[in-house]
Amino acid sequence: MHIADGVVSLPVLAVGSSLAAAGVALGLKKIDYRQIPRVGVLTAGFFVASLIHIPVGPGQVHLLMNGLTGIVLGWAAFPALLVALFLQALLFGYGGVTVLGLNTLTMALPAVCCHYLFGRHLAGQHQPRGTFLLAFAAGASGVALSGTLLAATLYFSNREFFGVATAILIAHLPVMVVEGALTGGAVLFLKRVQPEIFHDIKPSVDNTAQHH
Amino acid sequence: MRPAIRPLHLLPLLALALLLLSAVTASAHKVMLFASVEGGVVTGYAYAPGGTRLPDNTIEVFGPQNKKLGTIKTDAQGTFTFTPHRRCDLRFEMQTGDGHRAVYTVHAAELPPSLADSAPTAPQTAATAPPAAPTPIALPCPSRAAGTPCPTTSPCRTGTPCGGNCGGKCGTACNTAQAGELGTLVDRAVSRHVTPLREQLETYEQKIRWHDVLGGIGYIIGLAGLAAYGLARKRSEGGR
Repeated sequence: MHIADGVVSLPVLAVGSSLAAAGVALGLKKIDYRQIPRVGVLTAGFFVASLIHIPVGPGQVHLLMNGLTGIVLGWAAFPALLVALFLQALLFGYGGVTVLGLNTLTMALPAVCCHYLFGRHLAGQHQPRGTFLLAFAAGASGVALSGTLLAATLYFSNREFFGVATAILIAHLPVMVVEGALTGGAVLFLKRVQPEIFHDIKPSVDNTAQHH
Repeated sequence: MRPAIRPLHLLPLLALALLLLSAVTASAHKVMLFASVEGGVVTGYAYAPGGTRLPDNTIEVFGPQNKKLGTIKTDAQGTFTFTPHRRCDLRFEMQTGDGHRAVYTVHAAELPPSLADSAPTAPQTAATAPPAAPTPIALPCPSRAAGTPCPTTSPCRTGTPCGGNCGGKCGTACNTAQAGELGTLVDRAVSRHVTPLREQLETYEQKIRWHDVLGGIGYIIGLAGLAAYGLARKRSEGGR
């Protein structure tokens, strides 16, 4: 899912990087003091998730976990994934430094979509089955949306779209299932031990009121 | 009411992540190329980390100054061959449809000296290389009449009288290319033994190591700490 250095054309790179920069700026603005541990843990989770590989046909695909990151973090997924992707590029050679912005956009934008589509409904969801299904949908569509964005990026760099898009999506079908199940499990677990994580932290809340 | 954040309860999530990490097959998701030279032919293969070969991929070959020398395709086993016509740096570049890209360079020095040097290559490789073009030197057979077969099987040496198997006939031109035959054999044998080592070295370089993973997590924790520090200062300043 990581685009490598030197694959996309310059205009695509420029547009993608600017959009990612805007997303990161917005995300940073939205990070509240109390949200930092969450951001840190989910950044670490995303950073590690890409190391888990699933063999598909001749190749391999890896987990993304951008759905889980998105439902918990919302816009803060942008800076979180930027950091994780930067470290992945640096330490493992995934993607690259020049395409960092583009890769951030490809994975963080679906994360934000997952937040608004599914994450917001998790707070009010009390049935384990409904929770799991919502989380499954978030995990699976995080991968699907990223795959579609990736295909679109490659299309704008003067390549054909449908063949590539189908190939990417088919290769990622097992990932969607595994990722959905893992996200479902993680969310069920978090719902039990840390249900507040699915409530937005309102920056306006008076923090001193909580010390009692 | 419970406090909004209990960071200690996020630890199980981290534990889960580490647990999942134990399933790591020590591989990365990208594509890679490997190539070696054997008898003037570049053979190689495309693979994904973990050793999975990548069949049916197009590889473009570039010479010096980004001059395209050809396009080749990997076969069902992910292997490819390329026969260079000049002795120059060869850059093999593969792009898969899904945004991955791999580059592997075969340096001119790895190619056999019998190939003609290309003018645009760096002069230092040309300087260190043995004389390239085979130049026929007519050497007389000292004790035999021209045309009689040479009895010995010792190979020809340039500059020495030709007593050996110079094309099987005395009086024929002794060719450095014939002396080069032995060199080619040696080249081939050496590369057969060295290639596995080089492959091992490549794999070792690509390996994901625990200290990298832990280092990355450390960076993330550190950054989170920095952010918390910065935001806490801002908050306390704002509160005053």
